[in-house]
Order: sequence, then structure tokens, then C-alpha cells
Amino acid sequence: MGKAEILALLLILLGLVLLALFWARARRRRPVYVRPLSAFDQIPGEVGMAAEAGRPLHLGLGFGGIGGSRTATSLAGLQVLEGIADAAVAYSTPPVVTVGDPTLMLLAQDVLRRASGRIGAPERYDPASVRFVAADPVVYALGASDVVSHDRVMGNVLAGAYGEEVSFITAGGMGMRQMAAADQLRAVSALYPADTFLAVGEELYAAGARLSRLPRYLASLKVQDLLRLVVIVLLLLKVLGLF
Amino acid sequence: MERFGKRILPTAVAVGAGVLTLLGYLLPVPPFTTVRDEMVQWAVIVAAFAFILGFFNVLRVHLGRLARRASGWGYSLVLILTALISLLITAAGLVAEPARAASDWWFGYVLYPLQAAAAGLVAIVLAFSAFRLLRHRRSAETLFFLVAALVVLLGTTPLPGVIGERLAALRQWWMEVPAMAGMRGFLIGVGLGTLLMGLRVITGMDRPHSDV
Amino acid sequence: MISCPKCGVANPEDSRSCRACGTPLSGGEEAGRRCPMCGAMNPADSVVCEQCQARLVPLVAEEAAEAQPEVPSGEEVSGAEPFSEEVSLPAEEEPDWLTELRATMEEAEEEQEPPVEEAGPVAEVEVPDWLRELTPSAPPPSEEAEGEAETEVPEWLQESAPEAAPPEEEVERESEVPEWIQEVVSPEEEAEETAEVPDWLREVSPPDASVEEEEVEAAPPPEGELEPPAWLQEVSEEVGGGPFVGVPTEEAEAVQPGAEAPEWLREIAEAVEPPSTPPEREAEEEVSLPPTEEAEEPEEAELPTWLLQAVSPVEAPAEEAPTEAEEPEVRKGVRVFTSEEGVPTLEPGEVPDWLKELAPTDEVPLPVPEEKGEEEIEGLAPAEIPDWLEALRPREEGGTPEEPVETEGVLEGLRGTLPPSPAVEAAERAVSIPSVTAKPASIARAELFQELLTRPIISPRRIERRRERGVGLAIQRLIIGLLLLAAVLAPMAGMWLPVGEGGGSAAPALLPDVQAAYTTVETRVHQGTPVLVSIEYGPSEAEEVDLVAQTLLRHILDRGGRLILVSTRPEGPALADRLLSALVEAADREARVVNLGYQPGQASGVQGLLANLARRPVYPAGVPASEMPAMEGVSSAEDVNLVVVLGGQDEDVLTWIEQTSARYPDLPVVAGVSARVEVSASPYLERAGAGALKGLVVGLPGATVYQDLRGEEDRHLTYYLQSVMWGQWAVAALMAVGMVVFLAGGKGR
Repeated sequence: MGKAEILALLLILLGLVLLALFWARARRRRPVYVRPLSAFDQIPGEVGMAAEAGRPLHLGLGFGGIGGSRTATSLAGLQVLEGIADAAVAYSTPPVVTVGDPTLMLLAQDVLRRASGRIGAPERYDPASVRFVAADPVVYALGASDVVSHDRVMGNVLAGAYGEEVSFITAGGMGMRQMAAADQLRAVSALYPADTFLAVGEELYAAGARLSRLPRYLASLKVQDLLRLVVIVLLLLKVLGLF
Repeated sequence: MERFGKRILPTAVAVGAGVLTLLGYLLPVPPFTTVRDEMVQWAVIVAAFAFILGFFNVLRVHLGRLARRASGWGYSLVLILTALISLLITAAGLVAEPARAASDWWFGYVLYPLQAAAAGLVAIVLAFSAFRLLRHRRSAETLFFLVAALVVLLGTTPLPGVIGERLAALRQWWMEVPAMAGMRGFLIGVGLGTLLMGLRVITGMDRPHSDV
Repeated sequence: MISCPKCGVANPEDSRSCRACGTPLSGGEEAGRRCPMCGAMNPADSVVCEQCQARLVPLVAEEAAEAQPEVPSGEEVSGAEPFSEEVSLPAEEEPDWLTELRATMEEAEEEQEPPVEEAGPVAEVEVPDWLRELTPSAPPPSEEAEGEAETEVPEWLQESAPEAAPPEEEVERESEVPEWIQEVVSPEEEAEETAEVPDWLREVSPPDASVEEEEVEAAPPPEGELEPPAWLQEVSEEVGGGPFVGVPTEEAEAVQPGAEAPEWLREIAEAVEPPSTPPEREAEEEVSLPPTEEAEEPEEAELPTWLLQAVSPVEAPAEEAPTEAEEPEVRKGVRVFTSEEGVPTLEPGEVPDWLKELAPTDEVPLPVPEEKGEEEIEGLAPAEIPDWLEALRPREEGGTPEEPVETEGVLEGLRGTLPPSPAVEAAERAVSIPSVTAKPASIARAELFQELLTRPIISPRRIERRRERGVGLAIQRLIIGLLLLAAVLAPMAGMWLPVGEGGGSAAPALLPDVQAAYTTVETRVHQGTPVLVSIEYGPSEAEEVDLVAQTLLRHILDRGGRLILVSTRPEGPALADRLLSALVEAADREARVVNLGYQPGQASGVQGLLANLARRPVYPAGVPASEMPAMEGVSSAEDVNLVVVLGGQDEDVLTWIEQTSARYPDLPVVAGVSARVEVSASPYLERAGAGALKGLVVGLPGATVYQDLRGEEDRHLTYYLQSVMWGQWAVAALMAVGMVVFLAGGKGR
């Protein structure tokens, strides 16, 4: 193992330890500050408005799936679904979820099914509210865009793996409130010009902490921020030749 | 019991599989590597099955629309038909050599141009949103974004003369210094997010697979 | 497991209905739970109402429910028969008051309308059968109740039955009332007191002393007769309360009322117990207690919902009292009542608080008594009040110091501790439900919700901006589309953009990476060298990447390399075929090229593939790859000299780079990618210090440079490049125009 690998391993171990610590802390319900992120902060309100209008939200989870380099991105997107599923299902306006990878479809269906079970109305779960659109990113984006513009959805939330073709979806949602979180440069550069509330890069991974506020997400976000600080310090040391 | 079946067991399986696969990388010696490779194969099989489920999901969604006569059900009908045709033709092409020509034709003259054309539309949509960018966002930030985009665009298209050279140099500097720096920072952030996501999953804190 | 009576399918323990056929799995309705919201009957083990989904059991109630069985059932109690003999009540009467009671209960229920959801459940938990009986719906219980009542319920209790009770009944009672009691009672008082006032109270009222004595008389008998009822013993054991077990008979008395309390208490409650209070006060004066109203409020707060249900608001205190009373009575009642010395049970101080509580409320036509009593009250020693009576007091009552002191256990010496009886426990639980059930997650959600509510709305800017004409947008889009199309087609019309030196070598910046790619191919590929090629693009990106791919692969083929193609995208194999048909002679193909087809599983798939190249079937025939001549000597990526990644999406490209370099660090990787992958792929370049990626050929400009290096000239490519440049110029122009237009605040603003 080279120096880089050892450093990486140390970082991972540090992350693990910190994660355990903060998790324990968060579970004791110590208040944890989470920075506001306009993209996610809009969402609960959007869920409420959707319920009032009786029209669902569209939640695009991107074309990523489980098992690839987009796994983490896609799981982070899934946290958005987790964060709104309970409320949305309880209001009888479960989101229309589009996915570009069938493995993610299964997970998304599971989230909605569990949410229905939790509110005591398992019969409200409709597997068809999660739609596998297409495996090709562009075709997925076009399909999702069709859902957004023709399925009477109330708002548009995008979180997950996207490329610049995401602009199809935002174009389809023009005029409605749109929230997007992406950790891919190409997606971000396409989302920025589109008129969306945008969470960029690692902010996507704050979705869980921001929306569901589960202790593990809060702890994770805290550790993430701390580790970034560590990395910054290391970089500075390196630049200054001290390391 | 229920807790065991719905929570403990899946979590144990997930954590176990994750750890075993990781071990294969950390200790690349026979027992571990064998297990790792086997796990990976399973993952592949699961992913393949997911695609079959995905196909049925598509049919289900659009048959539902058809049954409800939802707006645009005509498109759903077309979609279902073409999906079935594609499936048949492609399957036939895989099984029987003579049908191969048909499946090649279907791909080359139907699917390929459709997708390529769709991709071409991306450019238009992007251009459109760039064109209107200042309409809904007027800030120094936006202006900066536009100028940077212009520099990169023009810098990529070689212009003759001094202006062209300057632009190309500016573009290169732009890509290698500010853009690369931003990119690195961006990637580090994403990498940390990914790392923690992975830690949560592998320690069983996150249970996207569990029922409770 | 519960097996379904209808279809026999086994269902989880707590199933409400069969998961196969939907048949309700629990017993008949008698045993059922009434939904507090909609009134529908549900199977006894229902957690949620079948009709309206209201919750039938408090979230925490399970444990309490277990305790339920122990709660005295009427029959058990009756076995004890504490008072019955003394009082010698005619059994016949009870039915009447019971019916009355029921009637009143119903009214009460209606008035009060369904209590909180928890109410139902709670009731179940704590409320013994007798309580259920009381509810109008459950017919069977009533009989039980009667039975119990006959045996156990002392007359005086019965008398205290609901105000609602018709006058005649009272009369009857009076008649029934033991002579001695009747003697004692002065007529006027009765009138005042309303029918409900217990006889014994009435008796008491006139002469203070005499009352006491008489009572004493009455009290003692029970003591003697009563051994702690079986149920009590059970309870005590379970509760673990040492106190219970040893408790003398008097406790029994006290307890029994508590146990049965239900009925008589209700009666009292409805009957407006207040009347009862007055007499006592008169007689005993001990009544230092504040008027009922005060008491009521606090108590109500604490009251278990089921009590609230059952009791009309006014009476609430009374009912509660009994429940709480149980323990205290058990422990201390002994002293007070027993008083071996023959001390009358009712000492001046004793006047039960609950009686005081019962004092008139607004609704109730209250007996006068209070006034009389008050002066006397001072005289009374508060200390003498029996603890069990004390316990009956509303806890939150201000200024009443006399809470029972715990006599045993850890809490010894503390005041105001909670008695351990099951009923009380349950009640407490019910009260504390929220804090117990809230999970951190739900609290967190609540906090978030709270925060959202208090947060100002973000971005009101949205509101003013509104859709322009859909048509306007469509036209704009159309114009832009046409413009781009025209730009892209311009080269066909012979309109060439002036380009820099090198016949279109777009960016000198690309040169180093392309050069590195070129060199890698030159050095790694020789005659017969196997090269692994991944086709990671679909039709969407093919127009661009195909050109790069052809350039690279042609070079490899020209150097005599063998190509092993694979893809992690479903369309990949077909694209690979198209690509190959343009590059390789059909005759040559078998020997030089093998298409391994689609590999699902993304990163995992790539791992698996790298380790087992030979195990894969060939596309599309399906024969094992190992049988193909092009695969000779190749079993895994270790046997390959070079990996070429051709991709249109950065993730795919990065996946290959990462997976390959992670397991085969010495295996060089060269990538030919779409222009949009450049930014994310370049950090992986060896030149950038990462070392994983040897060379990178980006988009059309990259391909052009590569062809220049090889000395090729591809007119096709030149056209493409011109189109792209035209397109870029057009977009740049559009952006500039947009900037000017919208900055100038023109259109749309």
C-alpha cells in the first residue's frame, strides 16, 4: 500500500469513528444544525401544495442504478423520496417517480410500499407510481419530461444521476416550481440555466438530513462536513509543503 | 421473529455481502477473491432480472393508462406495440440467425435514428435555456456563467489570427485552472458524500433493503 | 400463528383479517372493541378500526393490556361479597339502577362524543369487563354487572346511582335501605341530597357522633367477613406490591369498591356525587377541601380517557377517585377503618376527599350541605383523613398537602407517589403516551415541520414570473432550433468557417493527451495482441463517439491487434456490430474480432467481466467465448495488453478506468470519449498525476488530431468538425443576443 492508500484508509476509519460518535449523539436528540438548502427546503411545502391540489409531484431519480458508479448518487436521490414519501402517501398524493434503471425502480417502489404500510394503508401503494422509463439517459429524460408536462403533476423534483439531457425535464416543467439536486457537473451546468432551486454536488447527500432528519443522516452530514475540513487542511498542508 | 425476518436478516445479509466483497479487495487471496467474484456474479444476475421487471413495469404503467383512457393513451398504445415488436424482433435475432437481419434493420433504421435525433434535441434545449437565462435570473453570478460559457465555446472553435489564439489560450487556462479547481473541489465533496453513503450502507445504518 | 377459519391460511399473530381471503380473524363482536371514532365494533385484537382506521389501542398499551386479565372481574369480586350481607340488598333492585346507569352512560357517551383515539384502547386495557358491560353496545356484560352488583354492591353504593334514576327508584331504595339507616337519615336531607346520596351518608348527616358510630358499625362487619378477594390477591402478587398481600380486611373493603368501583362510582358520578359530599361535611366537618369545581379540572386532565368517556364531565372527579383510591385504600385504609380500638371508620378527619370532590357542580342540583359543614371543617384534623381518601383527591389541587405518604419500598416517605394498581398504571400510561411513543425520527420530522411553518417563504420572485404564452415559447424554441439546424448544415452548402492552422486541428490543447493515446497504442499493440474494447455509448452519443472509435480501432487493427468488444449498455452490442462492420472485412472478422455483448451490473459487471473474459457467451450466437479464435490465450483481463474505453457518458468511462486500474494497475487504459466527458475524465489522466488513464481522445477535435498524427485525412470528419463549429458559433451568438436582450430589460420585462 502506498502513501495515498494509507491516507485514504485512515480517512475512511476516521469517517467510521466520527460517524459512530455523531450517530450516537444524534440519537440522543442533541440538536444538529443542518445548513439550509433551498432545493430541499422547498420540497415539503411542495408536497403540501400537491396534496391541496390533489395532483402529485414528479420525482425524477435519474438514470443511475444500484451497482455502478452512480450507486451513491442514486441512493442519495432515494433519500429525497424517503423524505417525502410518508407525507405524500398520507395525503394520498404519492409522487410519480421516474427512474432510468430498473434496480432503482425496485428500491423506490419499496420506499413507497413501506410508507403506505407505516401510515396503515398498505392498499394505497401502487407499484405503477414508480415508472421505469428507459435505460438510455436521453430517452429517460425525454420520457420523464413527458410525465412532467402531460401528467398533471404539481411540481418537479429531480435528484440523482443526470447528465445535460436533464434540461429536457426542466424544459417540460417550465412554469412550475422545480427543485433539483445533482452531483454531476454536466447536470449542474444544464440545471443552472434552467430555472430551478438547485443543490449542487455534495449537497445532494444532505437530502436525507434535510428532509427526513433521521439521526443517521444528520450524523452522516456532520461527518461529511468534518472530513471535508480535514481534506482541506491536508491540501493546504500539501501546498505549503508541510506534508 | 418478524423483526428478524424483516430487519435483522436482510441487514445481516447486506452487511455480510458488502464486507465479504470488500475483503476480496483488501486481501486478494483465494478464499476471499473467490467469494468476491461469486458475489459480483450474483449482483450481475440480479441486475439483469431487474431489467425484466423494468420491462413489465413499462407495460404495466402504459396498459394502465390505456385502460383508463388517460390523456395521451394513444401514445401509450404505440409504446406498448413498439416495445413488444422490439422485444420479439430482438429476441428472434438472438435465437435464429435468419432473423438477425430484421433485428439489425430494426435497430439501425428505427431505434438508432430515434435516439440520435433525441440526443440532437438536447443541444436545442440547452441553447434555448442559455438564451433565456437572463430572463429569469439576473445576477452577476449569471452573467459570469454566461461569459465563461462563451469563452469556452468560442475557444473551442479555432479562429484564425491573434483573437483566435488568445481565445484558445484563455479557454485552455480556463479549463485547466478555475474549471479544474472547481471540478476537484466538487469531486472531493461528492466523493466524501459517496464515502459516507457507503459507510452507512455497509454498517447497516442505512437499510434501503429492509422492511422495518 | 392464527389460521383462518374460512380458508385455513396461516396468518401472523396479530392479523386482523386473513391475508388470503380477508375474513376477519378475531372473535365475535361481543369481545370486540368499539371504535371511539365511528362506533363500529372491531375484533378484540384489532389495533386499527376496520371502518375508519382510527387507532383502537394506544401505541404503548400492549403491556397494559397484558395486565388486564388480572383486573378483577365482577364475578371474582362477587365471590368476595364484602358488603352484600351486611347491607342485605335485594338483588332485584340492582338491575334497575344498572339500566339507568346504562342509559346515562349512553347519554354521556353521546354528549361527550368519542374521546381521543386512545380512549378506546385505554379503556380496554384497564377497564375490566364490568366497564365494558356498562357500554350500551355490549349486552352480555350487563347481566354480569347485575350479578356483581347484587352480591357486592353495598346498598349505599347503589343508592348513589345516577341522578337520572327516576324518583320511584329512590323511593324503593329508601324502603330497601336498612332500617337503621333509614332511621338515621332525616327526611329533609334526603330531599336535599337528591336521590343519589348514599343512604349511609344520609344517615351520617344528622348527628355527627351518631353517624360515626353507626358507620363504624357498618364498617366493621365487612372487615371481618372479607378476606382479600381472590382477584385482589392476584393483583397484588402480579403487581408485586407487598402491601396488597398482607392487607387486612378493611383494605378489602376499600379495595372492593375500587374494583367494582366502576358501577357504583359511575352511579355516583352520574348521580352527581356532590350530594354525597355534603352530608359528610355536615357530619364530620373535616371537609377542608375546596369546592368540587377546582378539583375537577385538574383531575380531568389526568383522567384516563376512558373515564372521561364514561363520566359526564361533572362527575369526572368522582370516577377518577376510585381508581386512584384503590391502592391507597389498600395500604392505609386498614388503619383508618380497622381501628381495632373500635374507632369508627369515619373519623371527622376521614371524610373522603372524593366525597368532597363530588360536591356540587354547575349542572348538578347540589345539596346544600356544604355551608353547614364548612365551619366545622376547621375543627377537624386534616391528618386524620384516611389516606385512601386523600388519595382520591385531585393531585393538582392547590393547597392540599395531604397526599398519601408512601409507606414502603423505595419511595418510602415520599408524597404523591403513584399507586401501583393496574388501573392506575394504565391511566398513567395513557396520559404519558406522547412522550413514550415519540421516536427521534418523528420528533425530528415534527421539528422540521415546525421549522417549515415558521420559515418565511423563499423566493417570492417565482410568483410574479408567469408563463408567457405557450405559443411564444414554442415559437422561440422553433426559431432557435431552425437556427441551429441551419448552422449545422452550413458546411454542406459550402460555407466553411475559417479555421486555424493544421486543417482543422481544433485545439492544440488536446495534443498531449491524444499524443499519449497514440503512443500507447503504438507501443502496446502488436501482431495478434488482444485488446479489450468497451463500447460505452448508445445511439444518443454514437454520432460523435463513433468517429473517435473508428479512428482508434482502425489504428489497433492496422497494427494487427485482436479486438474483444464488450458493453455495459444494452444497446452496446448492436452498436459494436455496426462499428465492426465498417472496420473489418467480414471474412477477417472471426479471427480478429469477438463481440462479447452486453454485460449487466455496471461496476460489478465490469469487475466480473474482467475476471472472467473467457466465460462469457459471444453475442449474438451464445457460444462460449473461449471457443472463438480471437479469444485465444485470453481468459481474463490479465491476458490483455490494452484496454480501450469508448464512451459517451462520464460514469461509464470512469467506471472502466477505476475498475481496471484498481485490479490491474499495470494494464494501460486509453479512452476515446465524447467532448462532454472531457472535464470529468481528464483528472484521471496520467499526465494529471492520477496515472490510471494513459491517453485521451476527446470528441471530433481529438479524432482529428489523432488522424493527423497517423497521417490520415478524413474528409468526412472535416465536415463534421465544420458543422460542430458552426453550431457552437450559433449557440454563442444566441447567448450573446439573449444577454443583450434580457439585460437591456427588453422583451418580457
